[in-house]
Amino acid sequence: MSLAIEDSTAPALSVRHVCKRFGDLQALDGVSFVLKPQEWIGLLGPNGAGKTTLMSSIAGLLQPDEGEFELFGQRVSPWASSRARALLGIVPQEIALYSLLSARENLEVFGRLNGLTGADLQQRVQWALGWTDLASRADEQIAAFSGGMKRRLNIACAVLHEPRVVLLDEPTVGVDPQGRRRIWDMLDELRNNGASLIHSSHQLQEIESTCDRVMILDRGSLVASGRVDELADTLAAGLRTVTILFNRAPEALDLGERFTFQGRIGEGSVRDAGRELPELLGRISSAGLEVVSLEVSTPDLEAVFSGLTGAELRE
Amino acid sequence: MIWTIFRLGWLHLKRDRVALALTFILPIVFFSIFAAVFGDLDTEHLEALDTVLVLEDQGPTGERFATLLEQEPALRIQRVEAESINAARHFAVETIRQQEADVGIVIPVGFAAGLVESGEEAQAIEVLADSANPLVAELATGILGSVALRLTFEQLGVIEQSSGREALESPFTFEIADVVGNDTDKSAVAFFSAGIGVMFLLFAVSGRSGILIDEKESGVLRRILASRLGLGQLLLGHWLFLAVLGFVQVTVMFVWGWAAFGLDLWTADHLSGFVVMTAVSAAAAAAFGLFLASLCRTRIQLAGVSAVVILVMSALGGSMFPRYLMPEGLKKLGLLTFNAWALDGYQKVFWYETGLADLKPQVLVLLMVTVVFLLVTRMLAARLMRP
Repeated sequence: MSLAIEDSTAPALSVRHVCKRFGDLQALDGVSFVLKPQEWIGLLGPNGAGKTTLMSSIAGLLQPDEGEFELFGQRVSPWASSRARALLGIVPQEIALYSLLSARENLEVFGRLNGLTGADLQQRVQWALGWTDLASRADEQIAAFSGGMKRRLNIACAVLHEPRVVLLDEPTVGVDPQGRRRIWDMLDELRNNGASLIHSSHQLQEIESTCDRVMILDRGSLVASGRVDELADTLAAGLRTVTILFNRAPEALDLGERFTFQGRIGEGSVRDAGRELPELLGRISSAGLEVVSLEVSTPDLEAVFSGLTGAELRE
Repeated sequence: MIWTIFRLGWLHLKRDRVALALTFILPIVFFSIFAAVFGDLDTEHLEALDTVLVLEDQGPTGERFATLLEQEPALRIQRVEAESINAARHFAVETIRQQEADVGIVIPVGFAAGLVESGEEAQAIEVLADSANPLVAELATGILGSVALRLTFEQLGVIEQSSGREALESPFTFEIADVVGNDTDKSAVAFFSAGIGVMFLLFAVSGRSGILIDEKESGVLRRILASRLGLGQLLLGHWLFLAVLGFVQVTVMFVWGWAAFGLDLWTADHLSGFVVMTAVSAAAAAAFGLFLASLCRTRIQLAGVSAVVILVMSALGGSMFPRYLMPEGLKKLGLLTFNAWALDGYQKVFWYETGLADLKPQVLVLLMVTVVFLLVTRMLAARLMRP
């Protein structure tokens, strides 16, 4: 089966009604979505929501019980087609590298397993070493590398064969802020060079700041999909977060059960800011307090995520 | 505080079944095997020796001696009937070489000359044996001596009072002839090279096959299986490496045996037999190693399970001591082990010097073991795909 990309305007990936069951556990229950070319989607969900199963199904590591996949408009079975897998790259959550090999040797191994040979392989290895800032340590065993260096190499090994769809499972776990920023830049470069990304993470701030769109998976089903501000508007339906700084710590001030106080700061939310805010300010004034500053904001991704998936522990 | 640490040790041991097995079960299994082997070395419990008897002296003394031998419970006598003395002797030798009998006894004409004062020198009774099992020849000679003494008493009639007080010198002489091996020391080197080589072959490949577990634990397996390589190809790649590693390891062992201990490796027959046996042994060991790795979830588990299984197989299969020392039951049980078939093959090459065609049973069994373990490993490894 040839899988040349004939229709570059078609979605990079279409997933339709994918189901997967493990014994009594319905790991995926009719998941459908579309990934556009050069789109960067954040995949969120509590532990056990089905994120890894979904990624594994797309990558061809698992055969779903039901469902269809299309890559650039062509129907494919990634678990059965190595050519389809050639268009995909997967970055596992673990540092999936051979620790006794050097950076160059790791790149060569995974490049060969993805069909690269000869001069093409050497050229891509050189590119990857430069891309990851590891050229100066290319021939050292990676066991001595820092967490950030290993993470960058972990990503490079997955994209050496220039996949058009890259699946990233927690690509920045355990990396310091500078290292995370470097990885985000690398991923941005990948996207600018034509790749589409699905990025699974528990770092909500990271997803909010990097991804074009967010999908939230819970108990095997996709419960929300869209831009973060869209989701917030839809879910919160006018809900706004209010942060108030008082001139002194309030004592016996009652702003309703949605407000909490810590020192001079009060935090809470209102459903109808136009009607509720004047009422709140009146109560504050009656209590003999002054408002030093007042901030009204839309809920962030964490609020959306908690609102959709609940706050209870899932493990 | 100390009690907390003590309890911690107990909890870890209690929940680590492999460690428990290594601590309590393996020693018992080993003790039982050694006790069964060496505890049965007293003659009362020995199996009767399969004995071919060539009776060249057809006279009444020879017949009587044969009858007494047939009555001896420690011997299971098969008389050789042949057209000529040479043919009978040849048949006896071949029977021992084919391992269809433990020992041969040739009673020559004139063996009893010492019983009467004829002035003739008594001909020695020959014990035809395979010196691969030195115990058998010694045992057979001892039994012969005892039977010969009975014959002496019979032939001399009632023993005089005085003879009871004097040591009775046997009028018979015995000669042990090795009809198989020709250089005991060098062949013993071949035996130990094979025995130790096969045991460490198993240890080496099972240890290296842990790469499958490393790949699963590190996530490399997911990355590999998401590439163009399938699970079957991955397993075959690992198997091929382990088989080549095993081949090289055993070769190094035998070359060392040649360099340091004079093992006769460089004849065409020995070399070709060695190559065939090492190739199939390494192939089977590699498949077995991967099977163990696919059964285990962690490296620690693999190390424990490998130690238990390989040590027991090596004890039963003849890597630690020759299987001829074992009682029949253990010998048969040993055939369930990889070691026994590999060692039998090496013994045929270096000791019995049979041709390649005679290695067929060992080669077929080891190839079958390879295929079966690879297929089972492929089935077990499918669960590695589950997230």
